[in-house]
Amino acid sequence: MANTTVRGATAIHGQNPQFLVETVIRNRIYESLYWKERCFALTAATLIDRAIEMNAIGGVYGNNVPTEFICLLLKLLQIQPEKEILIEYLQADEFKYLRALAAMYIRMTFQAAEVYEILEPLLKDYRKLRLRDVGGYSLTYMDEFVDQLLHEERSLTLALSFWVALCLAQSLTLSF
Amino acid sequence: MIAPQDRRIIRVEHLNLIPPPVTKQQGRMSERKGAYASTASDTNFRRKWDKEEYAEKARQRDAEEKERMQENEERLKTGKKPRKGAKKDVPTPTELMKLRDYDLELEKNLNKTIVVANPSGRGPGQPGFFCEKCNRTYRDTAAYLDHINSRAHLRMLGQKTQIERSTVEQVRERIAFLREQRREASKAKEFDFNKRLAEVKAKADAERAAKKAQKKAEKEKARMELLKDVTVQQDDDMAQMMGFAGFGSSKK
Ligand SMILES: [Zn+2]
Repeated sequence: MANTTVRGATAIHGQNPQFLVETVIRNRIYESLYWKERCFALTAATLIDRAIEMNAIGGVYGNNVPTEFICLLLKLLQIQPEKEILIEYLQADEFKYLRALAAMYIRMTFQAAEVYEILEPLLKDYRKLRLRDVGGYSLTYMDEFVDQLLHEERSLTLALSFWVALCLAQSLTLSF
Repeated sequence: MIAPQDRRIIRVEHLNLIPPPVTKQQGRMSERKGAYASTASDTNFRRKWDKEEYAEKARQRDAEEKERMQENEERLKTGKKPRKGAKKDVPTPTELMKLRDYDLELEKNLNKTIVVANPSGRGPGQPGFFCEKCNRTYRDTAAYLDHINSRAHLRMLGQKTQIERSTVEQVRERIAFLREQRREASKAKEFDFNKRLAEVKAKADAERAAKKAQKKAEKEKARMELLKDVTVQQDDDMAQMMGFAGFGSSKK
């Protein structure tokens, strides 16, 4: 249905993939107009249309209002597209917000080695990104965002898997 | 106090609903009509209840209920759950959940005052959002959106509750399509820009030409004035010499 995870989805880090977004934020997303009106019945193909309409990355703003970015992220967790599709998202380089969305999703759901392998080339993408958070809009860059994904345990108010973070840290120290 | 056995007897009698015999006293009472039995014509606008119609409706409802009960008994015998409401004729879902390809226009009537076209309290034309498929009205966008995303509504549309699974090819196609669309858009913008530039240049040229023409005309006019002035001056001199003034020309 509108909020249930797709049938036959595999568990991510031992749980329903949608649970990777914390309950409070998840419920705010389910309640939001954008989710109900614009995210209903999206598939991996039609989600691209919404992703390229985005003009900022971010978690929540104002009084815990979810951004379009986090709504689409939850949608991805819900429909769980195949890895090849996510790679396609990353390779569509003129759609930078689609790329940012795919990078975030990959960081949240893939194994550490894969995450590093896939996201590392994005460190050479120096394009500007708008970031929307509680304080309003600010400026960041794709490489900064990806660097944050690779090194930190939280991004855009979302907890990233600690285990993956640890593995990433190890693989990073090994590679230097 | 009525003893329990007496009470039972009274109740049974009551259930038989035998009308009490009409006494003389009561007959006279009915001749003297009360206020409610007035035949005054000024109350004719009131709704008259067609008792026959409602009796027919009640009979129909009872028949349906009886049928349902019989069916439920059958179902119980075969070990199925009894049906709670009347049977609805919804189409069997044949297609997967589809994306809405139209705008919901939730804000179409925002901040507008609208005459309620249908004051009966049911059906279309009520304040709020109306779902034609299910014939229901919702008070606000949240309730309406919940409804049109609901299983019940999808059932009426003949849709299942699962979405289509996109393949990599579909995703590739979509990206290629959107890429082309964006390129077209930027090209159109560029084209517009060039066109606009040409327009601006043409306008500036036209303005410059007009100014030039005007200046030229002014110059010509001034020259003509000067020429005329000179001739007038000559005339004046001649007139003065001969002892009479001109006709008071403003130009001196
Ligand atoms: Zn409906």
